[in-house]
Amino acid sequence: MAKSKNGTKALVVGSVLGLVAGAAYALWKTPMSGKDLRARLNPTHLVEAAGGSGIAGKAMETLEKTLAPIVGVELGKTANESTASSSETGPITVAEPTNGAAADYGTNSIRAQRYSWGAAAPEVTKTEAVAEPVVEAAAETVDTNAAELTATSADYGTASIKAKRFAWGSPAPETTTVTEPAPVVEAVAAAVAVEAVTPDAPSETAAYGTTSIRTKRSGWSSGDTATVVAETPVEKTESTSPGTAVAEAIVAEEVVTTTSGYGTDSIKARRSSWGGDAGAAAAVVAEAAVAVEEPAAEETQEIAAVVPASGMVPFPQLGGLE
Amino acid sequence: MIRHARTAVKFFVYGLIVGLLFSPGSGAENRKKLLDWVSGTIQSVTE
Repeated sequence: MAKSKNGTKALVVGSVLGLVAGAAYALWKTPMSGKDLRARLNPTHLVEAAGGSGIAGKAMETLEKTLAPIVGVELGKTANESTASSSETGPITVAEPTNGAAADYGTNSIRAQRYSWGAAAPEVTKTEAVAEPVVEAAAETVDTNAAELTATSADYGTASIKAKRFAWGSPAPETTTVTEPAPVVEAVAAAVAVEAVTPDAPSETAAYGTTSIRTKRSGWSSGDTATVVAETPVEKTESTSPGTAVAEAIVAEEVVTTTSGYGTDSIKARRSSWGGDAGAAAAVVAEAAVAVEEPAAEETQEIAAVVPASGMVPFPQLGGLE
Repeated sequence: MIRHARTAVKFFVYGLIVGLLFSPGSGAENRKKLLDWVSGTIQSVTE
């Protein structure tokens, strides 16, 4: 009985002392008041503290619930007005032409309409600014093509065509275009002429030119090209084929063209004054053509009948040359 | 003995929680109020 009383007394004293010690320590070290601590642990408690948990707080809560629909309607009206105003300014912003990147959009008719709405950017200036580079680029392309054709077609054409072309000063692109098919005819005529003049030409002399031309060519040391070319057609007047003279002239032209370092002093002087070897070749070919016409006037008349002034020999008529 | 100590610690924790939740102010304020009350009481007793 006494032990139970002592135990109960110790329990009560221990609990009371522990409770007091704990409370004292908490009050001594607490960082904040109990009210703030409870608000931090439970946020709803803070709302009650702010609005008041009494009759005034309930009255404010009821008032807010009553005015909520009215406030909502006003907010909706404000939102609709702001949307309407933004929809009005939207198309104006899109349709209004500016001088920026959007000014170049659309076709000419669309741009005309757009600028007729009151834009300040001139349409013609924009169109020209877009069109000019294209035209310039096309012109540059044409010039480049013409230069390429001129460079590659410097040796094309018959003697008369070349004489005409070089007499004009410089090979024009149109002339080049006209004389492009000529090498085919020239090659055919040359082949016919070679067969007619030297039917049994040795195979080891596969290079161009007839036997006499090749013989003369092998004997060239310093070069009397003009003399050789002048003599060549005279020799070929002995041939009975009317195409032979033209073919020999072509062959002589090729020889002169490939022997750019050859020629007498007068020929070289003329060539240098003409500005290049092509001009020299044309002049020499022209001389050769004159030499052809002199001894064989009747044959050249027949050639003139077959070969038109442009120098283009129709292919079916080549049979008459043989 | 150990049993009594356990009971004391248990009530210490209870008192700690109650003191934190129902403290009238922060620890500094409580200490100031306590010192003011102690000094006033001593002065009143001495007078």
